[in-house]
Amino acid sequence: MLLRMRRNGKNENPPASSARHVRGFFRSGSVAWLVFCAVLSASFMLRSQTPNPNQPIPGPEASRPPDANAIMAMHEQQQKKSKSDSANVERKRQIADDSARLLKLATDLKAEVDKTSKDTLSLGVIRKAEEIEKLAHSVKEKMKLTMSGN
Amino acid sequence: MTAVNRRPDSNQLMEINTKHVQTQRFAAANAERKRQLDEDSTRLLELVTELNAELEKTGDAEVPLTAAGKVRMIERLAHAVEEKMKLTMAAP
Repeated sequence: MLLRMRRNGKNENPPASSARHVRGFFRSGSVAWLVFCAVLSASFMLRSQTPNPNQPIPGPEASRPPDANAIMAMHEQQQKKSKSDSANVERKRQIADDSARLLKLATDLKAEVDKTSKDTLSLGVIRKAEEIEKLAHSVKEKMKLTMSGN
Repeated sequence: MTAVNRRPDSNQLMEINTKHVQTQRFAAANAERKRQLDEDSTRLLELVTELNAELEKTGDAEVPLTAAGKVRMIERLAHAVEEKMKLTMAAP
């Protein structure tokens, strides 16, 4: 190189030329690095796209749109669900109402029992207790229906 | 000696005694029944108050199992109050 420089008689700066060479080397190295990264990521992408042998391959029916029967069944199911939901809401409202009525009856019963002496047979107490029993039974049945519905 | 101030014979004495014991027994049974009625009606009111509070607390959510147990208990207690009140009777 020095000979060539001497032969050509050019006054070239040797340190500047070596720096250019070094820069070129790094430039080519970075290109190689970029190529390597691209190849690596492509291989990863390919691997992720290849199907897992353990995973079942979805058949053509998976992407097929549902037929009329399936749509009808789905609609019926949705309607049934919405109906049972509204029935549950109504039942819960009734349970709350019955419970408030139970509270009133129990308060009245307690007051009436307090009023009676040990030798009095109070028909009012008997009637109120009977009513409470019936109401509690109906609340119990409604609760059962709500729980089994869910 | 007239029939009025004649001393009762042993049969009559036994009858009087039996009646007296029976009256005492009825009174004791009625008193015990009244005590139980008071207890049952108090417990009934407590349970109904608790049930009401529980149902208000849950709102639109699921009905809790404890509420179902309370309703069953309320039903039983109301039946017991009814039966005990029916059993109350005057002494002979």
